[in-house]
Amino acid sequence: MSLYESVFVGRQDLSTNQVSSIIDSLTDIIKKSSGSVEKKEYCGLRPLAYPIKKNRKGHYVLISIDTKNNKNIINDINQFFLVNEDIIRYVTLSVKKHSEEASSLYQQSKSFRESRNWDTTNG
Amino acid sequence: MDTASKNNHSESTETTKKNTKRRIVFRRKRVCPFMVDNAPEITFKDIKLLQKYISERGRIIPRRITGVSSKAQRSLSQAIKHARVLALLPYEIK
Repeated sequence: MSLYESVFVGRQDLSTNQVSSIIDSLTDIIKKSSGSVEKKEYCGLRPLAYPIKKNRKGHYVLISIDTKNNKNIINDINQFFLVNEDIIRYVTLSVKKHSEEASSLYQQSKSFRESRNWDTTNG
Repeated sequence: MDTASKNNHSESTETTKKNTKRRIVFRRKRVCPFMVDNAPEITFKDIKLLQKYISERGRIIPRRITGVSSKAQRSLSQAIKHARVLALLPYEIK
């Protein structure tokens, strides 16, 4: 139970720089507790199925985490999501294994990524 | 009288024939779409897949209609609920 996947939704008026700074601070939290980030995926500014706090769209980001059996990492991350006001929704789940390919969410939101060059980066 | 009774008799034989025909109707056994080879993985991220299993109002379709096995239906409903939290799928469509 050391592999996790986390998806969070950022506010619609965030810039891509702000989103990447959120991802960076997340990786810092994980690396401080000797975990590792297997995959980061920016899925784009997708429309929400229902409005959340007057947002109609949201930046979807997926990160795959290997906690290396340090359970505090997941608590720290969820605390970070909870406190950060730029994040409107998040889901963190344990997975049996991380897939090498791009997630189906990434593939299905091609049209929402526009011309930005956000390729999947392994770190 | 004779002709009338003959007609009745012929009608009854026809109905019995229809009944036997109805009983023979071949019904193919449904196979769960997640138990076959190359079945798609059930995750909350695959919205296109999950959309097949929600109704027009956004409710989860019972498996007696879709033919999904009970094991797959359990993970499917869990995946739909996770997708709803992330606003990938709606809770209800008015």
